[in-house]
Amino acid sequence: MEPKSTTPPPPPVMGAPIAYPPPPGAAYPAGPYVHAPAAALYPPPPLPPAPPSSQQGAAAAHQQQLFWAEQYREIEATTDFKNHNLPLARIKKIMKADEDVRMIAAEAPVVFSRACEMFILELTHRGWAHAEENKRRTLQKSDIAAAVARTEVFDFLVDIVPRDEAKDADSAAMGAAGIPHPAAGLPAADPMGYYYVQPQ
Amino acid sequence: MDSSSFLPAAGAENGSAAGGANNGGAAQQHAAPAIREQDRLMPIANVIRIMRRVLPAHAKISDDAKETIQECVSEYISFITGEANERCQREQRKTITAEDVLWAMSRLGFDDYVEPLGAYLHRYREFEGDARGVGLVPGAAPSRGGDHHPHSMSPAAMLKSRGPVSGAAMLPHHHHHHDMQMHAAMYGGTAVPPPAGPPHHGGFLMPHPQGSSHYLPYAYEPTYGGEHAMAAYYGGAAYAPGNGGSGDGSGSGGGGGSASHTPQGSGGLEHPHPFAYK
Repeated sequence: MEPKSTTPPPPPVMGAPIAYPPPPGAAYPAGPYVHAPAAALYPPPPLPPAPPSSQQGAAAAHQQQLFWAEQYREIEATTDFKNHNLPLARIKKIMKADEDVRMIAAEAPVVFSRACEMFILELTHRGWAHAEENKRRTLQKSDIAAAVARTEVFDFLVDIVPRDEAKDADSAAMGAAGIPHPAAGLPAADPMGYYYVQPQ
Repeated sequence: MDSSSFLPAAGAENGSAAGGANNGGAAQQHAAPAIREQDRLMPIANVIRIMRRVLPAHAKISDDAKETIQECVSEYISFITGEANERCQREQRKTITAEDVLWAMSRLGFDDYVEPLGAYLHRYREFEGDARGVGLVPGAAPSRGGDHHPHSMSPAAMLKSRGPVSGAAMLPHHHHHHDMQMHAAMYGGTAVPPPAGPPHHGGFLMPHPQGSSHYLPYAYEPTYGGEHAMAAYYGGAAYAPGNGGSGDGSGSGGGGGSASHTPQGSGGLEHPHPFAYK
């Protein structure tokens, strides 16, 4: 006790977790992504074929490719892993708002921090496209609603953005821009015809 | 059962040990069910800053658009977390890992996010340090294998019961350590942040008190030497946590059996009383 106290270890730096010794005989798995084994164990289900895209769809797809290429470039350029653009404590609180959630690994909020950035960027990007179609320079709630209505992966947000607003916005956008409806063949009176609830 | 029964006692202990900080953490944990409005959304300044990265300079954002994005982000987190948690429950696991989050995203249609986030997670683990980076991934396997070590489950469960309280008070990074026995021991160190070293070792005392007593004479020297060696290599207080971790690494290098007991011995030396209660 006495000798040890002469050299007390300094307190841990905020945000830097204390390391722990690796198990004896454990080998670091090779490969570009650490999560690859998990992905192999649980391959994602095959996605339904994408709907036929028009010229507008092709342009949008190209923009999306540029978007994700930019995401990769930003991730490769990331050097600061201590300061996140979104507070980890807040993310954790939102995760734990679900009473069924018990414990959360330290890396989960870190991944969410980046995922939410990408989510905000994608939603804003798609919303801005709608604002531009209406010759506006102010991003409005109706633009977000239109982006949600047009993007299948954002279906879980229909309760956050009123459907009426989305419907009106989308119809107005279509009328103003003279763009053919994405889901060709569906009745014009039902812009939300392509919507369906994904199985839980 | 053990975990839930120990939760109040663990909270009390943390409160008495760390004073105000952990008391605040305990209160925060109690307030969790009734989450406050300001805690339900991402800070609007952060959200706006991110939005502007994809908008042209002349673009303006209406207040209702800002609020809508805030709501959408919280819904996104809850949506993905719900799916990840369901997988954890199916596999009878208690901790949502980063891999569970990525799996949930691919399952819910956010396939485009999985590869960039996988790359990010990989680089994040590299940033955490070579020693920790190497240790973390192999550590995951023993965690899954925990079911095959029934004798060590009870101590780990006792330690895990304190996770929520402490996690609420400190950075989420530390919460990760509850996933397995060794990590649970590490958690003991983070329970009392100011004197990082002693509680760190004290945490190791929990799983094997007998072993700790037995290895007292041997434990002290390797930890001390390890810290000094790593201090010379990394230098400065900025790498204090890595320094401690590297010291433990040196201890584990001595052998499989002694590796798990070395830090616990030091813990016995430092803080016999606070943990003797258990």
